[in-house]
Amino acid sequence: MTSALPAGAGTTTHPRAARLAAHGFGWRPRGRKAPVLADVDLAIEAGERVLVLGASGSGKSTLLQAFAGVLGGDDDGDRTGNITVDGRDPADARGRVGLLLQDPEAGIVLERAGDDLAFGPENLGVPVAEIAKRLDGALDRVGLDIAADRRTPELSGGQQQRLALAGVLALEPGALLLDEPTAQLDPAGVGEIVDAVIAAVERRGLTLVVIEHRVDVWLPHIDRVIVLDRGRVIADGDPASVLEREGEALAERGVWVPGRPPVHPPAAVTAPARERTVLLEATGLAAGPAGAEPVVENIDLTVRAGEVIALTGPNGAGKSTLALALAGLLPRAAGTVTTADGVDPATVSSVELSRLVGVVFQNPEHQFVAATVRDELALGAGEVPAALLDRLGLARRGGTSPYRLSGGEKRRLSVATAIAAGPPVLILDEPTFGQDRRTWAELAALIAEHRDRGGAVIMATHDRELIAALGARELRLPARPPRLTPDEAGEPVAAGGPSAGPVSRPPLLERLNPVAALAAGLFPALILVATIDIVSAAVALALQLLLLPLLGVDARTLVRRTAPVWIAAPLSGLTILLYGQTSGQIYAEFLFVRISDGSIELAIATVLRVLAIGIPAVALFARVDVTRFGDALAQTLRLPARFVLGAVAALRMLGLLGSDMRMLERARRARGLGDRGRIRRLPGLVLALLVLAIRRGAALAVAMEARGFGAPVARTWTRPSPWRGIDSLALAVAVAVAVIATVAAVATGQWNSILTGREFG
Amino acid sequence: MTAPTTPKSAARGVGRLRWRVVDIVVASVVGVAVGLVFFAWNLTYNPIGSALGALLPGVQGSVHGVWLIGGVLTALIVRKPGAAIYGEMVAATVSALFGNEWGPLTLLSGLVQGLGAEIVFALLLYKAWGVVAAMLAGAGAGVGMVILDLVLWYAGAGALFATVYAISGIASGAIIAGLLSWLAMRALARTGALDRFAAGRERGDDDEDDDEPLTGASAVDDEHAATR
Repeated sequence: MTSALPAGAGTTTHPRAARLAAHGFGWRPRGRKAPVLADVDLAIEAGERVLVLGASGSGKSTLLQAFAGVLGGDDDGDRTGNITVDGRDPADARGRVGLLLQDPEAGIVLERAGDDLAFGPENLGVPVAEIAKRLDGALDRVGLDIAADRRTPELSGGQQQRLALAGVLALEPGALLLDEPTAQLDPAGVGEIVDAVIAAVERRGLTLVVIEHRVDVWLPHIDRVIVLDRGRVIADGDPASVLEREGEALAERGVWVPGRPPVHPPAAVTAPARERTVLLEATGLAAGPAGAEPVVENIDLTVRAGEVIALTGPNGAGKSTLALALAGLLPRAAGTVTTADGVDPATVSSVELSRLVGVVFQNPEHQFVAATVRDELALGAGEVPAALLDRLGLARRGGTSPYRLSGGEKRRLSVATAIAAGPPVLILDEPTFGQDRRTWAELAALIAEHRDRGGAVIMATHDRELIAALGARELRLPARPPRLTPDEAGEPVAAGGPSAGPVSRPPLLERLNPVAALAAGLFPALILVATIDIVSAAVALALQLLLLPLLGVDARTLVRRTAPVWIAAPLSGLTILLYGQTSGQIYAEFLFVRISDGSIELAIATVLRVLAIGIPAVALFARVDVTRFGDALAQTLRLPARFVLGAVAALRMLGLLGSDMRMLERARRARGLGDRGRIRRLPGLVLALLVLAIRRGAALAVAMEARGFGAPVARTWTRPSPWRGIDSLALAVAVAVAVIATVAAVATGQWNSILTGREFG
Repeated sequence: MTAPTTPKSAARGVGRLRWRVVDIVVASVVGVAVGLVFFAWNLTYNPIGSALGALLPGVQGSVHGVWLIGGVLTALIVRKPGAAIYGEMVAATVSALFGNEWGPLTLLSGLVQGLGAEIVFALLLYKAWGVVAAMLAGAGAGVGMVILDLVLWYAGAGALFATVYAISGIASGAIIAGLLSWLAMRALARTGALDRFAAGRERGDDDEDDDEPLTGASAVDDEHAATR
C-alpha cells in the first residue's frame, strides 16, 4: 500500500464521487450570538481533493459536519441558505458522505473490529450478504493486519484511526471528509493514515475534503485549498497560489504552512552557577501499570538545572509511563528517584509534590480542578498577577471555566498551572501534540523560560522540532514487542477455564441467548420473593446448586463470581436477626434490637433466600458479552435499537472512562489536592469525569450519526440473535425450580406471604 | 444571554421531547460514568459500610440515595421522556457487569428506581427541571428503591425497620440524588459541556466570551476586536 499519484492525477470525474455545494450557507448554534458559518458559497466537484485551512474556531469542522448532515435540526441552531450533496439535502443523502473525526476513540462504536466495521452499513439497512461482501478485505485495504474479532481498545491510536476509516469506507461513500484525522497520532501513525486515505480515494475516485493544521501532510495529494476565517470563505484556489497569497496570514493564525517554521525561543542562556545542580536523579528505574509487567526498565537519568530532557521512542515504548514514574505518580517496580533535596517524589505528600515537580498531562482536561481560569492559576501561586493572564493570552478569560477555553488555550493554561507553584522540575507528556503553530511557539517559549530560570524539564515527545528548539538532550526508549493480551494468547474471554477436551462444545452459558440467561436469572426471583420462609428458599437453593454445573462453568470460577452474594447473604440475615418481625420467645432486647424465635427463623430464611435469588442471577449474567447482549435486547426483546446501541457504544467507553478516572486522581495528586480525604475528593473527581464523559459522548454521537445511526430506515443485523430450543428449556427449568420450591412451601404449610406476614403498625 | 433562545422555545412543542442522537449517546455515556462512580463508591463504602449497615435499624437507607443519581442526573441533562429510567438502567447495567452481590437484579432495581424519578418528571409534564423538581424526582426514585428493597431483601423486617428505612431512603433520594444531581448539572453547564442541551443554555451568569472558539487565540482577538 504505497501512496499516491502526484496531485491532480486522480481528478477525473468518477460516477461514484459526490458533489458538495453550499449556497449562502450559515449556521448559528443555539445559545451563541455570532454565527459559526456565514454566507458560505462554494462548490466542490466530484473527485476533487480539497484541503480546508483556517485558524481554530474558523468554522471548518462545522462545515464538514454540515456536509455530513450531522449538524442537527432547529433544536441545535439556526440555519440559513442551503447545503447539498449531489443536489440533495445531506440528511437525505445518508451514506453518500463519510466523516472521519480527530479522536480515534470517538470513531469506533463496538467492541470488536469486525462488528464495528458493519455498524454503518447495518444502520443504513444494507442487506447482510452485501455487508459481508463489502467487509471482505476491508481491514487489509487500510493496512490493518488484525483479526476481525480483535478487541478495539487494544489497538494503538493509529490502528484505531485506520479502523475508523475502514468503518467510514464501509458506507461506500462518494465523498470522504476528514476532520484533523492525524492530529492525535504519532509520526508513524500519520503516514499510515495518509497512505490508507489516498489509496481509498484513488481506488474509488472519491471526493476528498480534509481539515488539517499541518499543510505538508496533505499537500502532495490535494488540488485545491479553501481558507475559512471566522465563518467565511476568504480564499479558494489551487494550493500554490493560495498558499503564496495567504500563507503568511495563515501561519500567523496558527496553521503549519510549509516553509514557515514557528518562532523558536532563544537558545539557552550561558550557564549560571546553579546550572550544575542535579534536580532529579533516577537509577535503575523500572515502572509499568499496576499489576502488569514493567514497561520501562533500567533507566538511569540525571537531570540538571537548565537542562531539557526529551523522552523519545516509538508508540508503546513507555514514554508516558516513565514520565509519570519520574513525577512520583506511578508506582515503581524497581529503582530510585530522588530530587535535589534527596526526597522521593513518590512518597511525599501531594502538596509537597506540587512544589517539587510540576506535571503537564497529555490531556489538559485531566488536570483542571477549579471553576475559573483565575482560580486554576491561584491554586499554586496564591495571588494571580494580571501580567500572568496577559502573558498566557487569557486576560479576558480569567472568570471563564477552564473547560470553555480553546484547545490551545487549555494547553497553555495547563503548563502555567504546573509551574505556578514554582517547582524546580517540570515534567510534560506530549505537550505539543496536535497543537497549532501559534500555540506551539507559545509553549516552546513557556518551557524555555522555565529552563532559563534554572529549572529542569523532562518531556515525553515525538516532536523533533520542539527537541531542536529547546536544545533537549534525548533519552530514546527502545521499541517493545507488542504485549500479548489474553485474547491473542488464545483464551476466549468468556471461557470458564480448562474444559474437558480441545474440541469440546462451548459451555452452555455461552450458547444461551443472553436474554434467555438474563430471564432465567430474574424470573425465578420474581416468584420466590412472594414468600419469606425457610422451606422454599432451601429447596430452591438446593435445586440450583445441583443444576449450576450444567452451565459448563467450573466450580472455582463460579465461586469467585458469586462471592459477593455469599458475603451479602449473612449480612442481610444479620439485619433481620436484629430488626426482624418478632414472635415467640424473645432472647435479647436493647434499643431497637429484638432477637426472638421469629427473627431467628426469618434471618435464616433471609440468608437462604438472598443466596437462592442472587446466585443463579449472578452466575447466569456474569461476563456477559455486551455486544451480544445488546443484539439480543434489540432483536429478541425488540427494544428500540437506537437506545440499545447507544448504551452498547457507551459501555465500550467504560475502560476509557476508567483510565480517565485514574488519570484524574494522579493529576489531583500532582496539583497538591491529593491529601484530602476520599470523600472530599469525590465530588470534584465525579464532576471532572462527567465533563470528560459528556465530551466523549458528544463526539461519539457525531461519529455515530455520520455512520447512519438514527437513520429512519429498518436496520439490518449482521449478528443474528436467535432464540433456540435450549433457551426456552433453560428458562423453563429456572421457572420450574421456583415453582417447585413454592409448592414445597405451601405443601409443608410454611408459605409466608410477604404482604400478609408483616404488621405495618 | 438567554434572550435569543426564549421566544422560539415556547413554540417548540413535540420537538422538545424528541430524542436526538446526541441525547441518546450522551445519556448513555452519563449512565456509564455514573455506573463507574457506583463502582468507586462500592469500593469506598462497602468494606465497612455494608458490615456496619447490617447492624443499623434502617438508617442505612440514608446513604442509599447514591444509587439513585443515575436517573435524576441523566434526566436533568437531556430532559426527554424516559431519560430517568434509561439513565438509571444504564448505570445499573454497568454496576451489574462489574459484578456486585445483586447481579442482574441490579437491572430490576434500576428499572424501579428510574421509574420512580420518571413518574415525577412526567407529572411535571417534562417542563420543570429546577431544584424542587429534581428533589421530588430523587424522592420518587427513593420510593421505588424502598418498596423494592423491602420486598426483595428485607422481607422479614419489622415495622420499625421498614418505617425507618423508608423515611431515610426517600430523604436520601431527595438530597443525594435530587439536590446533588441538580448541583452537578449546574456545574456541568458552567463548563460548557452541556452547550448542545437546553440544560447548558439556560444559565445567564456567564461571561460574554462564549463564542470564543470562533477566534481561538488571543492575538487574533485583539486584532479583530473592533469587527466583533
